Amino acid sequence: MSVEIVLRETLERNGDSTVGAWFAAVGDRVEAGAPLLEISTGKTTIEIAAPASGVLVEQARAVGDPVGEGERLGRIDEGAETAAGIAAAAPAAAPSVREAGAWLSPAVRRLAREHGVDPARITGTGIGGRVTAEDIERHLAAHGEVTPPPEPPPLPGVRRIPHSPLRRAIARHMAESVQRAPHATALYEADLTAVVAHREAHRAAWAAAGVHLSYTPYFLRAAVIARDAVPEVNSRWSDDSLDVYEDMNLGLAVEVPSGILVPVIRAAQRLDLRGLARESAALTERARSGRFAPNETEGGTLTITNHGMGGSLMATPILHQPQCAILGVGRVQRRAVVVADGDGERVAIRPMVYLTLTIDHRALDGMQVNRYMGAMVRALEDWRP
Amino acid sequence: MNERHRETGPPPDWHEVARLVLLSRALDEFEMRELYEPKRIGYQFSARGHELAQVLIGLELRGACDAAGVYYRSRPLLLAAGLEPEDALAGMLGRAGAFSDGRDIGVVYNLPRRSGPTVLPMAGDVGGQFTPVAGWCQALRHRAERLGDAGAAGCIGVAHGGEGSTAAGGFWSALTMATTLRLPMLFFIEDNGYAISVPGRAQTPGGNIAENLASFGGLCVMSADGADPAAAASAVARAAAHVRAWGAGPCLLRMSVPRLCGHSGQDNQAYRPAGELEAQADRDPVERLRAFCVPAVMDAAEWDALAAAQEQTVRAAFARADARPDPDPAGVTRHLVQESTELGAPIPAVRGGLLPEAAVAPAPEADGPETTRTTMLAAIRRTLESELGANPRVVVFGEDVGRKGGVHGVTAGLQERFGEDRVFDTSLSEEGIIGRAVGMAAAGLMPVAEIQFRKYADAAQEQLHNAGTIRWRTANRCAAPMVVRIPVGCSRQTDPWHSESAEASLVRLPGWRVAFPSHADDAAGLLRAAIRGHDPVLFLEHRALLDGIGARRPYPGDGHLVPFGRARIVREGRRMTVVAWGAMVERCLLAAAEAEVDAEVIDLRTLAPWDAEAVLASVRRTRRCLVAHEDALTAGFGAEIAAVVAEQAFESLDAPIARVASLPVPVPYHPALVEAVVPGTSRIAVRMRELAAF
Repeated sequence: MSVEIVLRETLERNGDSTVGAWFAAVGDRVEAGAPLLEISTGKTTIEIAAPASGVLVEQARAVGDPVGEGERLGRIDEGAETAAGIAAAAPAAAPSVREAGAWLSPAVRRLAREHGVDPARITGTGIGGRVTAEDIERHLAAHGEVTPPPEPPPLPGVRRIPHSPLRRAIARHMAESVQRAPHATALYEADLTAVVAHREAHRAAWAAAGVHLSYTPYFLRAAVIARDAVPEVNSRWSDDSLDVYEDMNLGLAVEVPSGILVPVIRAAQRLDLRGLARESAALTERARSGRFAPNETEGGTLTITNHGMGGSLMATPILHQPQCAILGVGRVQRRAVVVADGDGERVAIRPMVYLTLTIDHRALDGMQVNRYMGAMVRALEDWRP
Repeated sequence: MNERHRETGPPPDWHEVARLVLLSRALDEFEMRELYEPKRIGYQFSARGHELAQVLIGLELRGACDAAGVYYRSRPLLLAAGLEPEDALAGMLGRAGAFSDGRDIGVVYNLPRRSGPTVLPMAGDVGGQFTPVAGWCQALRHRAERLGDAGAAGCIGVAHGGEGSTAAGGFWSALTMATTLRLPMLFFIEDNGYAISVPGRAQTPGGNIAENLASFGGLCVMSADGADPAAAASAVARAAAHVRAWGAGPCLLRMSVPRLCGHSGQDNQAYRPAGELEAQADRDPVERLRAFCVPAVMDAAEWDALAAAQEQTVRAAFARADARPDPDPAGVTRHLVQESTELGAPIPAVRGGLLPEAAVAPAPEADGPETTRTTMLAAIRRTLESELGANPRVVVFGEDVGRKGGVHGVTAGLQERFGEDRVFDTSLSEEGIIGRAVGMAAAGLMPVAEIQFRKYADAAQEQLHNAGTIRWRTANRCAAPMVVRIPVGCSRQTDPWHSESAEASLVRLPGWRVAFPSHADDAAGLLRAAIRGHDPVLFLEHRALLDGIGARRPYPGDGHLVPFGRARIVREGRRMTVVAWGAMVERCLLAAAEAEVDAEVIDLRTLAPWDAEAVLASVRRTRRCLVAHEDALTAGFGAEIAAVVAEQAFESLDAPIARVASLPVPVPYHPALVEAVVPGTSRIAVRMRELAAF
């Protein structure tokens, strides 16, 4: 539908009025209420707003043409497409990776750069524990100035990949975590015969209902069940306290093209296997497509990394600060194991998985790890939905 | 007041009158037809109908120290006073040179001369031309009587305006000055019936200012038909003789003139009653002058040849003007303040202050600093006293500064010592005080004016703004060096009218230097530097410091000068930089002690220019910056400082820049309300602690 542009303003009596300028060309998209053209009336200038949104299809008066009250100035077509087409949608904002205490002032950034110091390795004394410029200077005085080695000239055949904001955040976080928390890892294995049987029995039916059933929800569920044995595993560390949480907010490490993201399943203890399957699949999908809210990576209390999906049997992941534990899940592999039955022992072929629990040894002790992992292995081996 | 019979000057040279009238008409018609209509110029202010009266007045400007204050329709007067047609056209085209070097409209005139009649730099706003002429006239008497300038005796000032300008405050302010001081000033009001589209009866009852001023004391009032050659010439001669007689006082001459054109080229005069334009056509002064001159002065062929010659003159002048280069954009910030050559010699203007006349005041005996402390008030008074004594061109004035010695007491005793013409009370008009100072500065004096309280300077805003830009607008042809002392800020008793600080709005006035001392020593040194300088200076005296104990210092001696734009670190520290001025300096020192923060406190001393280098160097050491001022927070000068620090020392900042300032309301009356609005020591201390802990 087309809308006429008509000069409805009252013009100054003493002076000739002309079109001073058009702000849109024929074929441009215009928005209702936005300035469209101006009328010059000798001393003053009147702006005429677009009466409708659409495409400007006609300029009835050109710049410099005289105009009078009530005259037609042009026409807007509300339905038409612009000549250039609709502009591409704005790219999604990069996920925020800012954590409390990670903010660096301009002065700290410069000092860190000039002296090759990693502010993440320094205890902050500023507001909210931020690292101040004085903190850096104290650190330099105590540890001697570190001069960054000169950047080596690039070797032939190199492909230099500039760090993305996500890569920088990951790097900072990894280095900070290792520097802050003494890591210790315990290795367990679990026989997944019961889990495999359960999965095989339900996979097709659940898929028909739109739920993809992988092994991941079984480990998530087992992590929840084992929490009853050692609630302290579901916690966050601060300098003054260990904060143990009622809700299990399970972080799930997800590979994305530019690195790793850890979206969080909230209150995982309230979900059954089906709920966990649905939620983990949805989160993974959102993380990979980049269409999730930045706060979906915040507030985790325990993280699970399913590194076995890529083939590895065993790994020792790095803690996701300030959480106190991270569960590593290896590849499910059919292995020969010694089993005991009523008649004694024999070698059997079983679907096995290595599980690691890496802890912040400031927060948790070996006994707690053993109790927690024991409970988890029992939950998996005696799987009862 | 009746006009007495006085000896008038020689009769006009009618041939010259005719030449100038025809030249003006030719210029207007050429501009309208060949420049305005093809849109080569954006404005055309025609004087058609006004030529005869103006030319007669302009030819009266013969004295070595005669001056005129004019407006945008004064070109016939300017031509009679010596304006070259080429400059007039170059000005309209915005070309290099002329009277503003392309910076101002071609009808905003100035015609300064070191010797000979001067047209004062005019302003584009109506009514501002009157008070500077009054100042010039007062300075004439000073030159003749105090400086022994024989050329000044018998000289006059002419203020030229339309009837619309008589409704403006400046007209009445100047009328009060001229009549109470009996100044040799001629108010020349040309009445064409309209101020743009508003008829004269809206400007004064009945539309005739001369009738309404008939009983005004001390004023000779005359009227004449500005299109009638004989009547106009007689009236101009008698009016000029009256004011030249010095002592008879001012004269107001109203000339009715036809308006044969609109306000400007854009004005189609649709508001005028039908038939009025046609009815005025037979009052065209060019036709009336022709009838008067032919054949009495010249024959018809001679008149026609004269008219043709003026058209030729205009064409030739235009060719030369059009060949002039455009102004250089790289130079657009030059001549905002006094500049010097590469060798350090100041580049004088043609008029304004002491420099153009190479008048050098002998430095007073420079005794050393004393040992006992004195108040800031006494230090300012002693500085005024020593400069008044050393430099006969210094005059000190303002409301109550004479016999009373100022409501703050700063000028106590100065009138007794230097006389009523050097130290005097003014009428109650701040516009008049500053406008008068502009005229006095143009006449070669160094005016030191007092505005009683900061809030009262609002009434002088137009004159303050125009005074500051004179040097820039005239591309260094004219300057207005002066000092304006203004007591500011909160003292013991406060209220919205006597306690404003509002320095940020003054710093934004282009061309002004702004001093804001924090104690007696700096006050003396900065005031002396201002009085001996060549720029307009706003000298802000914080009321709490005038008598404040913390501001007392030994008088530094009569030779003590403090340069502008040089801050001082009053307390060294490493934790943060605190920037302050005036009364805030002492409060910040106390706050740093109270907060136990290792703060570096910088006293800016002057705000225009301000010492950004000192602040930046300190912030680069301390990495934190707090600015404290008594002016309101919003768009206060702290915002400017914060912006510069953020731009130029960003990577040194370890915390957001902090500001402590008054709430954005007027200063209240009740002490509890003041406490809530104006930051005191404890509020500053809290901000310091917060910033230190960030």
